[in-house]
Amino acid sequence: MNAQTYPYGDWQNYLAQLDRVLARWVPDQERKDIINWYTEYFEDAGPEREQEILRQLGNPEELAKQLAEERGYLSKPKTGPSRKQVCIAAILVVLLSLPIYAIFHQILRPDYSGAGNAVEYVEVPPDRAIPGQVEDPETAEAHQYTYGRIEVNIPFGDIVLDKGEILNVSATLNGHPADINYTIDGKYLYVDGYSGIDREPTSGQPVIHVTVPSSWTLPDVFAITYQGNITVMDFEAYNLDVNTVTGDIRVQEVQVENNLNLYATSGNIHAANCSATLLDASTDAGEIMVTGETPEAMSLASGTGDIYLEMLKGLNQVNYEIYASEGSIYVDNVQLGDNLSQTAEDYQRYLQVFTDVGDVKIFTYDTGMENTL
Amino acid sequence: MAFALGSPLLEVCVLAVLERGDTYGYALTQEVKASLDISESTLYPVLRRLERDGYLYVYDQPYQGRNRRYYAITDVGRICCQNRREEWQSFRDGIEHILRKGETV
Repeated sequence: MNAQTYPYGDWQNYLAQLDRVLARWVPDQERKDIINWYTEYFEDAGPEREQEILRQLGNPEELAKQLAEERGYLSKPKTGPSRKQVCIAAILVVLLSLPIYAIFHQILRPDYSGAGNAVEYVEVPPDRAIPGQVEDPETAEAHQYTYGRIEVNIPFGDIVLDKGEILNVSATLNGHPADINYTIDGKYLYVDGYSGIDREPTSGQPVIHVTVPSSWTLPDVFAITYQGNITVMDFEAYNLDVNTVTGDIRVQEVQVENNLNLYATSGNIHAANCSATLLDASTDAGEIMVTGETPEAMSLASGTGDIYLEMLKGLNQVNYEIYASEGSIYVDNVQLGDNLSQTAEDYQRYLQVFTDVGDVKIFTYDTGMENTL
Repeated sequence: MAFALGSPLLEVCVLAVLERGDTYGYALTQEVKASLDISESTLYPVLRRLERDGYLYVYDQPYQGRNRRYYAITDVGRICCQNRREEWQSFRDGIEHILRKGETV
């Protein structure tokens, strides 16, 4: 491959990509016409002009958008909120919720200071503290520039995230292609909803599929849907922050360099074979299940649902905190670090499992014996 | 370039080329490109508009085992081309008049 070769390969490959992107907006017949025009153009131009023309045509994604816009199938993309605006909004939300938090904290916190109170309050030793990441806006900005940032923020619909050769954002409704609005600025992708679908999901549940190109190594990802499931498969990210209000979250074979945050208000969360510096998962009414690979640190919290830890290996760290308020905790086929004994007490100590009213059931790794704590 | 090459100008340019005979996409683009700074994909939407408005029609002809799409001007197209040509003349004269005023040509 010589140095002049265009990153999209030969013209056949380029047109295949163009066709794929056009399919999002442009009806079949028109799309065929467009592809025919360019096919013929390349054939007539001959191989010696191929690379020059490819360079002039530029990114197939951009060309497809332009062609769709010219035909009125796509309104000119709106500009998403800038990073700065998002930051300011986030800070405002935190600031505004502080007084509310303070009030509730004051009301709900048990009073340990009273004389004669028998409750013993145990400080968590520093080496057991869960490492949290404080995001420095400048670092985040630099990261976004180098590795990419993806934000998917939709009112309803399922989100599917995976990795592929080229960037692809598509939406389907009842199996048919649907329009989706998004903005791309360098390696910043902002997906912010639909055009052509009612605000209310009366006609079915849309599915948004985002394929992130492998050239965006370790992107920073934030995904939220207020009504729908989120699935992330075979994915690598720097931070992966996944939120849904009424759906389930499933992440599988996902490598996260830093924080893997999974928040489902009423749905279930399943993390299978995921690595991360910190897995932070919480749900009010759903279950949490962690299987396969073990994140370096885990903070799991559920309200009424149960928590399952299954088939985890090599828990050498002691940075775990597993809390089910009204649900039970099941630990099965989980191996503590090589140097540790595998007694029920060890599990409780190293996993820091606790629940308010539920059971803790631990099937020890070496004997498989059931222990209810 | 500071001056924009809008759709009406591109359309008349395409029609003027087609007045001299039928041709296909690549050749047409190269011909216009020889005089004007346009990109490889500029003319496609122009051709579609002209076809939609009835100023040209297309037909396919076999060429080396594949089909090549040819563009041909219609009678309406010729009339349109002639009108635009006259409009362009007066437009150009107007601009020239302003730009060269005071110059002794």
